Amino acid sequence: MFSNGFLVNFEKTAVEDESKMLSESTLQKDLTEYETKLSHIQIEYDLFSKEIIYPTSVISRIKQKEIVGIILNTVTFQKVDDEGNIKLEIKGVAKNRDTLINYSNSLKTDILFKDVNIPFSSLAKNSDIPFSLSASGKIDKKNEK
Amino acid sequence: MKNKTKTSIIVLSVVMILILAFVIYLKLNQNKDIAYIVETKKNNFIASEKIHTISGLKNKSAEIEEVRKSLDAFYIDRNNMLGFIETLENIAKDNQVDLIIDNVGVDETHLKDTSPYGVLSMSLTANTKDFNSAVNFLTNLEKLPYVIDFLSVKLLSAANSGGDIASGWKISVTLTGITN
Repeated sequence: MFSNGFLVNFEKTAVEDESKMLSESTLQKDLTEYETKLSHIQIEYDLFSKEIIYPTSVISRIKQKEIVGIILNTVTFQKVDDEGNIKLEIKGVAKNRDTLINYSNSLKTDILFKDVNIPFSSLAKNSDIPFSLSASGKIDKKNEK
Repeated sequence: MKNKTKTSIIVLSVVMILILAFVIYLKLNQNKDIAYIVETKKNNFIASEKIHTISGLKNKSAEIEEVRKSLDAFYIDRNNMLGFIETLENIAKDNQVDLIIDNVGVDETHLKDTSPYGVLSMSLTANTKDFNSAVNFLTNLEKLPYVIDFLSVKLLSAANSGGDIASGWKISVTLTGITN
């Protein structure tokens, strides 16, 4: 009984020493430091995972859809979100109504210009029509740089 | 004699009871100590496991940091903003473009607590002699070794500028970059 008591006391002192040693370690400091680093990496990941829009890629896709009888004089596009959605406005002069409608249809074949909209006012004249097309779409990575 | 025996039995019984009580007291205390030892050992085990895990994470963190350092090249050095502006001016010069930086600013509000990075916002206008130099200028902007996010781009031909530009194309760009 008494020898057991001695052993229990001995064990008690040993575990208390171990506990003190562990609590004095840099555990909390290391954990905080690691969590800070991790949060910075997360921020960096978010910054780098944004969808980047390359202007020349958009311009090139607009130029590819150009047809005879269309002269472009203003191209505007802006990023809508970080998912690659953009809004576009294309202004120019079309030789006639058919050319303008054909151009609009040509643009629609590209996913980047899926919602092409010609204002009715652009169809008022029959020739040398100044037009303004609006469109919205999404950059698809496979067609990107 | 009979009384003496009786007294002895009572005294012996009392002593026995006292010894038994003492033994029970010791045993209870021992049980309490054993429970305490078991609990402390359990906590120590958890703490040492945490230390082991964190030590592993620290090693991983050092490895990640080595890789992460390579990303620094894609940030604009906020202590050398002039260098960045000069780079843009050189691109403009190489493409025979008249460059005007309309606005530049660094938002560092989120730097204080959680992030070591800031966001550079810039608006610029470039007057180019023709469409090709406009595209070349934009190509060179895209090729800059930084993370550049083009928020908006406008290309305006002189033909539609209402006299705003004499010839060629005018480009207006709004962009952001990350500073460190």
